[in-house]
Formats: sequence, C-alpha cells, structure tokens
Amino acid sequence: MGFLVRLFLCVLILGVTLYAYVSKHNVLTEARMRVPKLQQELSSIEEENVRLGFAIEKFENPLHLMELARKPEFSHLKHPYTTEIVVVELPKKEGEDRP
Amino acid sequence: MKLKVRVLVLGIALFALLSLLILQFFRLQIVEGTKWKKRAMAQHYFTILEPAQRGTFWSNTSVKKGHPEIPQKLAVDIRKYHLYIDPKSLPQEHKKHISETLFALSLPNEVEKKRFMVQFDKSSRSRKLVSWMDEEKKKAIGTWWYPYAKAHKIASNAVYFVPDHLRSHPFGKLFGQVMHTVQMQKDEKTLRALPTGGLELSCNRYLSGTSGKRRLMRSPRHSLEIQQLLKEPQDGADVYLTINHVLQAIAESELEKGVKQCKAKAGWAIIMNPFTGELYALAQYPFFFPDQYPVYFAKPELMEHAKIKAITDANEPGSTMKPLTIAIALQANLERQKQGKPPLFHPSDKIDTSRGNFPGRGKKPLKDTHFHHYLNMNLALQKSSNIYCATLVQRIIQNFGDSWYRDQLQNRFGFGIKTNIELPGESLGVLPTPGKKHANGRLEWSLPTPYSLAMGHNLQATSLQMTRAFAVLANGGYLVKPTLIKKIVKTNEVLVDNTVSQDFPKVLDDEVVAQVVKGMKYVTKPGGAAVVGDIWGYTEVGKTGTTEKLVGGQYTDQRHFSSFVGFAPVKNPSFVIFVGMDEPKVGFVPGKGLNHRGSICCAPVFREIGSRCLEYLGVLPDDPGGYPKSDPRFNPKTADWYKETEEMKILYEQWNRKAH
Repeated sequence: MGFLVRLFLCVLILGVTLYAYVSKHNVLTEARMRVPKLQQELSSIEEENVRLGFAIEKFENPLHLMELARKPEFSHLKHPYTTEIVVVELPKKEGEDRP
Repeated sequence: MKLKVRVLVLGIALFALLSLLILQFFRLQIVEGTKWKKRAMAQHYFTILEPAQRGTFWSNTSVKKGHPEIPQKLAVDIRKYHLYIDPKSLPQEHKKHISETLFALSLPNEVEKKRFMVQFDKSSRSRKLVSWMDEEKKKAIGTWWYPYAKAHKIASNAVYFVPDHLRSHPFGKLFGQVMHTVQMQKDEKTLRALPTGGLELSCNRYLSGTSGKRRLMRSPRHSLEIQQLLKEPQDGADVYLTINHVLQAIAESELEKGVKQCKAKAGWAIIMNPFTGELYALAQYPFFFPDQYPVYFAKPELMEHAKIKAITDANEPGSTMKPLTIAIALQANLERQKQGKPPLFHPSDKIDTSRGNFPGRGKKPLKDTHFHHYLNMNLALQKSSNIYCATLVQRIIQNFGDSWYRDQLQNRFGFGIKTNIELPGESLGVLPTPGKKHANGRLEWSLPTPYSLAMGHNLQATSLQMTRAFAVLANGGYLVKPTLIKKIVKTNEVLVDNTVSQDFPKVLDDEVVAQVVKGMKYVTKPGGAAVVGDIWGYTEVGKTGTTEKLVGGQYTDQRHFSSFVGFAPVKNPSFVIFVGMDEPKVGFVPGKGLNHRGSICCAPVFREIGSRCLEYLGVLPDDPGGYPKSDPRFNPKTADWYKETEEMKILYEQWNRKAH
C-alpha cells in the first residue's frame, strides 16, 4: 500500500513537473514567436519616428522660420539680449551627477 | 566444421564491412569534418552583411548664451526601399499585368518606362526596378502583390524589397558644400557609403561604422531560427559641429542677396569665433544641394559649386592685408626697442605719400587709388593707402631684411601654411620666399615683392587664412587653429574632443593689437573706405580688399576678387566675418561707386550678416548712438568714434589742403 502511494506520488509529481515544464515551454515559444513581429513593429515605429523627425526638421528649417518671422503676425517677437536672460539653477537631487 | 568456417568468414566479412563503415565515418566526421560541415552550412544557411547606421552631423546649438536649444541634426538617414523582381519566377502570362501594375504603383515616370519594362524579359533571378522608394509606395505594392501572388500561385518573393538608408538633409542646401553627402550606390562588398566630398569625406572613418553579419536559414519553415545575428553592426560616430544652423542660414541668405546684387560669379562668407577658432558658418553661393549631387557632378560648370572655395581657392587678398602689414611694422618697432634703437615709425608720424617711387606691378610704380600728400597710420588705414604701407615695408626690410619680413607673415599670421581645417582639398596659398625659384625659373622674391606684399599683392591666401589672420587682431594677438568639429562621439565614447581650451601661440603684443584695431575703426566711419560696412548700433572694425585676377598669366581689370573682413563688437568680439565675392560685375553704380570694389559689393553683406547675427546671439548694442545721420537714433555725443572721426577729417584736410 505504502509503495503504491509513493509510486503514485512520484508519478503525480513527475506528471505535474512535466506539465509545468511543457506549459512554460509553450509560453516561452509563444513569446519567441511574437519576437520577430514585435521587432518588425518596433523597427517600423523607429523608422516612422525618424521620418516624422525629418519632416519636423524640414519645417523648422531656419530659412523657413526666418520667413515666418518676417510676417506681421510674428513681428512682436524678438531675440532677447543676454542681459535679459536669467538662468535658474535647479537644486541638485540626491545622488544626481550634475555639475 | 564447414559451418564454423562459414560463420567465421561471415563474421570477418561483417567486421571488415563495419570497420570500413567506421573508417568512412572517421574520414567524413573527423578528417574531412570541417569541409562537410562548411558545405552543409552553406546549403542550409547563408550570411548577409548587416549594414551599420552611418553617423550624423549635429549643429552647434550652444552659441547662444542662456538659450539651450534642442539638438539639431544636419543629416538624417531615412529608410527607403529598392524594388526588385525575380523574372524567372514570374510566369510569362502574368508578366504584362504585373509589370504594368508595378509601374503604375511605383514609378509614374514615362521616361523610365522602357528601361523598367525590359527588366521583366531578362534571364536573371534579380533585377532592380526602382531605387529609393518610400514606405507608402512599398505598402501600396505589398497590398496589391501578396494577394495577387497567392491567388495566381506565384512565388511571393518574385517581387521583393531591399531596405536601405538614404542620406537626407532636412535643411536642403544649408551648409551643402561643406557637409556634402554620400553616393546613392554603396560599396557592394562592405555596404559602406561612399562620400562625395566635404566633411562626409574627411570624417568618413568616424562616420562609417562597421557592418555586422547575419545568418539566414534557407528554409523558411523554421520560423524561429530563421535569422541569427553573428556579429552586431557597430554604428558610426556622430560628429558635433561648431557650425550653428541659424548663423549659417543668415550668412547664406545675406550672401545670396549680395552676390545677386553685385552680379558676381560666386561668393562666400565665413563666421568664426576669434577666441577658439570655431567656425560658426561657412556659406557659399551658388548653393550646392547635396540631395541632387549627381546633377552637379554631371556638368563641369556646376561641379565648381560643389567645392568649398573659402579653403580651396587662394586669391590675392589686396588691401585687407594692410592692417597686417602695419601690425608687423609696429611689431618691428618693439624689436627695435629691445635692441635699444629708435622705432621705424610712430603711428602719429606725418608720412609723405605723394611720391610713389616704389616698384609696382609690371613697370608701373606703386600709386594710391586716390592721391594723398601726407598720412599718419590711422589715416592710411582709413584711406587704404598703398604708398604708406610700402613706406613702412621699405623701412622694415632695410632694417631687418626680406626674410625677416617673410617670416613674420608666415609665423605671425599663418600665410603659406595650411590651417589644417578638417576638410579635404585645402590650399596652403602662396607666400614667396627670397631666393626660391618658380617652376619657370624666375625668382619668387624680386625687388617689388615686399612692396606688393604690403598691399596684399604677390601672395595668395585662402579666405580662411585671412579670417584667421584677422582673428589675431580680434582676440588680442593669438593665432588660433580654425576648426569645424567640436567633438566626435561614438556610443558615449568621445573619440575627438576640441571643446577643451587650447593654448594658442601669442603672435602679436597687446599694444600692437590695440593700435591696429584703433586704426581700423576709422574704415567704416565717415571718411573711411567702407562706410557701408558700419553695423548700426554696434562697434565694429574691418577692412576691404579688391584685387585683379590672373587670367592666362596676366592680370586683368575685368575680373576681380573682392573681400571685406572684420569683427564686432570691438571689445570682446562675438565673431570675425569674412565676405568674398568672385568676379563681381565691373562697372560704376550711380550713388555708390565702382561695383566690383570690396567696399561696395562686400561691406554691405558684412554689415547685414553682422547685424543679424548679433541680434540672434542677443548681444547688447554697444554703440546705441552709432546710426546714420538721417536715422533718428543717431546721437553724435554717444556715437562710437564720431568725435575721433571728425578730428581725423580736420587733420586730413589740414595736411592735404596745405600741400595743395
């Protein structure tokens, strides 16, 4: 009786462990299968980001901004003199490595 | 017995066969193992180069004090696609439809149609149809192609895309000549970009990076192991420039106006920090659009606009040399003082400039553009007198010799030696040497040479050399090293660092600098040679220059190189500006003067660039009364140098009226 129980327990533990192992493997395989797709998505998002950055920079071309600055609606804008600028130093946070 | 023998024979035979088999295994696995493994790998896998991302250029956004700006890229690598087909995999009956659809979706350009269609009839596994397609077109083709291929049972990879990065410039032509670009076709073996010139070429070893390796499995069934990165690509380093995109834009726009105004063949401008040698702008007109480089390299007349003339073209500087001649004469005074001898001259000395008995170009003696009887140093700079400068040089060579004078030009101002700016094709200019002969056997240094050098003739200097020479006057006497690069950084590792302060050699004494700068202040004031170079509201100094160009070994009065170089504000200058015009239209402009003279065609550009740059940098006007007399802001009491200019005017009239 004792032997059968022990055998049953062993088989049970083995079965559960095996199931857990296979299940984990499945989860892992699923994740691995998602990786190439996610990688592709990430890459395309990164590329899209570069393209959008490029479009923004094109718009922010200094020659274009200068043209805009000449328009009457922006005529009130001017470059401040260095003497008019106040630089506020933020207090250092603990452990922050900032000069 | 017979049975035993048979069994034995069979056993031996089996053993022999087994031994042979083991031997064969040994041969295949051990002796030739590497060879077969390699062949097997080659059958199942193939490796491709993984291109590294090319480094980029960053604008210097730290020139404005107190104005932290967003880092700004000057070149961006954008992913594009090349469209390929595998003509052998395309069924003949579908080719017409596929070719027409692909053409409509990818390249709506009738000129290219013939070349496009021919590719479908080639006996090849890979033909390129279209280069540099954008993402939208790729998506449109993919949306049509994959369902179509599935429906007609055609291999889906019979039409495929190869991704690639296209060097793109968000600001178009801005800084085009200096930055340049890379060729559209890359090196097939290394996949490295091939630069076309400029900084892309000189910084190529930093920008390139190293390609990686990726192993791909031929069978697509093993989707998880389809790719393996064997070697990580190492991206190129980023180059942080000293150029500020806004100052560059100001210089380019004003230069364009100036060149068009004076109808010059070309023009260029340099803005340099006189204390560090950092170039803030290096502009040239006509512009070079890097994205359209094939157009420039296809036509010789356009190719000229692809080079950086401020460093490749050495011209005679002309009168811009005069402040430097006077600086050398003042320095010679100090040398004499050390020797316990009287000075060669004093800046206030009244020197006779009526007799131009100095040997000049050809057989003609030297003369001034306008006749003057007597001048002192300040008046000579104001009136740009050739004879005054020749007189000083005569005294220099009489006391110190030709070689001493030549050495001063080289050692104190850097003429005849390269500035070693980080650009290809820099000219070292020409500075004649006593005793040295030209290729034609004639001596480089003859009797008239020192007098010609005094007024910027008989030597050739690049615009950058002239800018550096004037920086010596702006920074208190130090010969700086011009640079375009602040630092080069590769994944947080700084490969090149020019931000640390350098010790530049002191080449002029403080008192010499102060006297020359004081003299140059009269140039842009009433009575000076370049009144239109006055930056209203700010103090400035500068000098004009106009020289005839050599054509076929002869000087011609129909082609000139004109320039203006100066700095502002006078105390603690923000920058030195050089403006050069190549072959401005010769002629008289009513109300202005001779169009081709530096004072007419370059000085206004200097003023406009200077004024706008100072405004952008937020520099407080240091001459609030310094405006034209017609301007309500003009204030004779506070206008810088107004009183001195009036006194000079009186002195000039006294000396020259009396003589008349």
